[in-house]
Amino acid sequence: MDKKYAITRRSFLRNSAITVASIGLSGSIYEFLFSGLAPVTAAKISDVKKFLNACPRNCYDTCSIVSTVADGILTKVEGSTLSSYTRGKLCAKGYSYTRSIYSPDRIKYPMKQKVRGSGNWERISWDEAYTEIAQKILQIKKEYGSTLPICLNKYSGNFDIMHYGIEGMLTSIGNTTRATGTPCWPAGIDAQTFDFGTTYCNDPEDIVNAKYLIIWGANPAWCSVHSMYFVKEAQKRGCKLIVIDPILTQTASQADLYIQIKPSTDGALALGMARYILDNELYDGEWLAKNSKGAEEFFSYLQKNITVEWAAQKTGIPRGVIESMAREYATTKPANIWIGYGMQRHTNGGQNVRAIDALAAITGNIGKSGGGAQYAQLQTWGFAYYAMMQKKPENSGGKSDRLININNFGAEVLNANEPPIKMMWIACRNPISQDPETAVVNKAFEAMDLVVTADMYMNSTVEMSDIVLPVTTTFETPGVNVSYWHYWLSLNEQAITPMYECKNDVTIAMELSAKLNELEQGSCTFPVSGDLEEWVGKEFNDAIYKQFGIQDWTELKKGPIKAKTGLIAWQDGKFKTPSGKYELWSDEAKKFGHFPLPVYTEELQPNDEFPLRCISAHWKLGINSQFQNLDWMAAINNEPCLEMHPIVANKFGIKDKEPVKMYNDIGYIVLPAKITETVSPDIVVVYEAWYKGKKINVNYTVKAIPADMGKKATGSPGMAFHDNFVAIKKV
Amino acid sequence: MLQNHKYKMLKEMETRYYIYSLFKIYYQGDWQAIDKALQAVNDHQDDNGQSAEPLINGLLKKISKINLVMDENSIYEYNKLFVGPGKLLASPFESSYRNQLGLVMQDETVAVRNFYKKIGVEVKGKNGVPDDHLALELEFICYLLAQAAKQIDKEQSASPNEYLLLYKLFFVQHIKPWVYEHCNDVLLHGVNPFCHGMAEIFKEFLEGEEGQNAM
Amino acid sequence: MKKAFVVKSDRCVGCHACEMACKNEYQLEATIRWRKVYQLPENEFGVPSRHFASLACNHCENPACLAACPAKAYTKREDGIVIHHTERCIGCKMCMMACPYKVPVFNEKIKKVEKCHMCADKQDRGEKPACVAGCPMEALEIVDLDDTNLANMRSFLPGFPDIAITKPTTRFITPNLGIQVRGNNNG
Repeated sequence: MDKKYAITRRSFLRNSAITVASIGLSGSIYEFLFSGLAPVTAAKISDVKKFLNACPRNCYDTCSIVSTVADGILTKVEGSTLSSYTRGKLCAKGYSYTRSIYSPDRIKYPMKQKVRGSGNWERISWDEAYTEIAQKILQIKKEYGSTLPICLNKYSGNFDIMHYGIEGMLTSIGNTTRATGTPCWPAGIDAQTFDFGTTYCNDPEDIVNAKYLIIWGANPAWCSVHSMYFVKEAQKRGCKLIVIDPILTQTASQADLYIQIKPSTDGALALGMARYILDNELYDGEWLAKNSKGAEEFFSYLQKNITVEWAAQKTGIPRGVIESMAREYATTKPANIWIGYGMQRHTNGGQNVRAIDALAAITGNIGKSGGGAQYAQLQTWGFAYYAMMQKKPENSGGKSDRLININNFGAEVLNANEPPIKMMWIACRNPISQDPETAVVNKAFEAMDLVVTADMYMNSTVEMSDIVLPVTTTFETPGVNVSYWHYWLSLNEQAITPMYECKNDVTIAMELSAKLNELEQGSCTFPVSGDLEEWVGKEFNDAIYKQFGIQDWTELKKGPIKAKTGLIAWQDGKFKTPSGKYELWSDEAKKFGHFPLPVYTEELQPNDEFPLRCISAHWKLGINSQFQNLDWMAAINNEPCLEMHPIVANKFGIKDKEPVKMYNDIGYIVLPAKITETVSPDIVVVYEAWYKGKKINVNYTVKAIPADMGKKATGSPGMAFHDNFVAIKKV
Repeated sequence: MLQNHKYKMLKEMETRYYIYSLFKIYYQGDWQAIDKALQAVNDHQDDNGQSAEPLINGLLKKISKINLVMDENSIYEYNKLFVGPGKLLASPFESSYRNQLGLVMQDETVAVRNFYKKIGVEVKGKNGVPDDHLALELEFICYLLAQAAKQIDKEQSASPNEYLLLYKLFFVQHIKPWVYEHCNDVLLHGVNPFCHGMAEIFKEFLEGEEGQNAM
Repeated sequence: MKKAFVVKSDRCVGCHACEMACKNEYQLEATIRWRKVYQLPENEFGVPSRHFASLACNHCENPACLAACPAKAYTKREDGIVIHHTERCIGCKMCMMACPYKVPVFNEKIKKVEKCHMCADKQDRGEKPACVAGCPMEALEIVDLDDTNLANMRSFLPGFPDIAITKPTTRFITPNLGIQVRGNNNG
């Protein structure tokens, strides 16, 4: 036995900085030394505690949660009964939270892939991770004269306010490239911005006061189930529910009247209704005179260009139905419209929203309880954004941040030059799964020198990263959350110790800053230390305190609190438009290249080669790429499917559950068919989600077609996800 | 005579302790330490010659050979099996094998925590790492064996050793129910000779322990 | 007393929160579902629609499971709840074959059967079952059949096995159908 066998021949074993005390085998059985265990210190009483948490996902409902923690282990989650919106209930995804925190597959340590995409990962220490990242940042700065080659893609994986510290981290290193805009809702936001001055909805709990409610291109049964309760309650109190949707969804199945509309023609329906309202003098002239600008021009447009006949032909809805709906909407008071985000994911989405807003305006349904044109609100988001507001270091190069379109990410990363993009930081986002034109996004990743992703789980974006950093879940760190729909403010307490080596993104920012300054003093202005709970406190300001009627944020430790004011949008009639009125005629819109009135712009049509429209709607058991990959969800349904009408199935000779290839000129997917009459014959439906272990992603077929609006309020136009034209064939 | 018997017992225990320690370090994941631990087992064998136990001898020989097949790919595969960032092919957590959800920090973890507590130990950085990680369970076994050795050393008669009894109990309650399945998962999913070999040796060792101690 | 689930298919939107609330409460294994949400046949009510029923155990008046069990592992309480006793279960699966609703599920890990027990322990504490409390639409309720006006409730839904066999206590409120207007291109 060669005793002198040397360690040196194992050159691949680095001097590991992993702080596992490797002294356990320092000697014989008589020299036992603790490493992972330790003698019990004090006699601690193992107790059961309750904590307040909030679901930080990109969801209307942003539930207030109560967590039960026994001896430091999260055992149960429940909805908080202290919020009259959450009402003590979570959704299927919320109840599965313990599944995601305690899965053995969570990313536990910083890890590195020497060869991107190889699947061969080695563990590194946080210090090694920070060193490599910091060195790269400084090397880029030296080579290109600025930090512009570093690009941040961050969005809605976690909407906790303090997570804007990620943007702050990038600001604190200098001028950088930012993926700007939002995939979800910008066309509608712009539309409401042109009409009202900003997007602002009533408190959804007010829905119970409506006597006529149109849910237009939204599916709250799946995407905002707590609101569905209020919708039902309204129905109980005599409200008539109309649902307009190309798909007969779970929400539509609850409607008193379901209208199956030709996709992307919603503006035509609204304008047809408006014409009828005009002809029959059912409009609120008084309200218009007092509160609006451009009513005359709008009515003139209707008279010259719109007829109910035309609207019927465009939308596929019988004339009589349009007329009776118009009459009912105009004469029932109060009448409410919920405009869905799905509805505006078309090339004419923005204009369509403007037309629907106009309906609310001409019937005087704005600024009233039970009325309105609900889309979203950012009223409760007026925080200090302390973590986000960092200063750029001196002499960091470049003039300002470079903005690229988040909805055309792959192409714009590849096209960037002077300087090119060489490094990416990805957080709260999964672009390889969620972006259109997946092949292009992959190419963009391949062109990078360094890709850093902060995430909780392996996903397709992590697969293509060089370094992955493990982050904390909502339960392991403090935070604060609000919703873009309801008016509650929820504190998120730290309920359990962060597991393994997971860190909050703000902690990562602080420690990266320390490393950068160690290597080059002054290269990063982000604070290098701080208590996370204190950081949360600093997000609050007087405006929030006033709005919520509290003196100090610690009052939120007793429970979530509802805004005291501003619960009915535009009640004071003070619109935030340039004229201060509701603008049917908007010069702002003109500035951005749109027609100033809510006119109809033609929808995209399929062609002979790709005759079917594919709508990739949201899925009930997941939010974008989160949740569906969990085992509990997979047990309910682990199979994506292509929903199609029997007429379509017959035409292509497809039987239920048989595999079908859905394709167009940029990509294809193969999945089983589901034959159902609940979708209209001119569309097929795939629900967007990420199924673990399955190579199906509807985005392979989705082109980065922009929606008409979005640039004004969000910096980039939106995405026309539902203008995806495909063909299908039996496999 | 008793001295001789005691001496023999302690010598055997020490060898088994070294093997347990090796696997403890293996599951802790510090590769420099794993390397050193392998060397230490070999050194120990060199110093002590043949063991009275043919089974143990066989294992020691295999351990010395496994030394030679450790390579870079061993680290990648080790991470795929036990660490991440993807789905673990052979989770090193007891509760993930035993509870119905495959989660950690469930009832089984609490049971292990309580076992540790009764003996007066707990996990450092409580709740940061599940108490039932195999590395911690193996450390616990090493602790029990160390205490057992101390006791044997002091004892005048060959009285029943409390710590050995606890070791047997822990093995039956917290090792036997899942570690074999875990090793089988490694053998099923692992292709790297090092990881594969370690799983084989570990399984054989545990089976030997079970047999020897009538567990 | 006859405790029973009322399943309000006029309120249920098929969100699966009830299933998950049950799993969250009892930390069930992934493949074991004590409560399941079923989509009702699309054309059952005359026009295509998406309607659902959420079903767990029907706590039958003449439970087939109880009758079939050779180990006396089932009892029916005074209040009607049918309880399975794990400690007496021998894993023979006779109850699984006997139950017309396929309610008992087999737990591979412990090699015994298990099923919904209407959260009897929670109810005894004055709390609602996890599914009832967890449903955002309030589409599940517990009633006492002996003491409730059952006028608008049905004992069966399309696809339900013949109720005469075991007399399930679960009651249903059928969905309301609205008027549907489909485009001209759909006949």
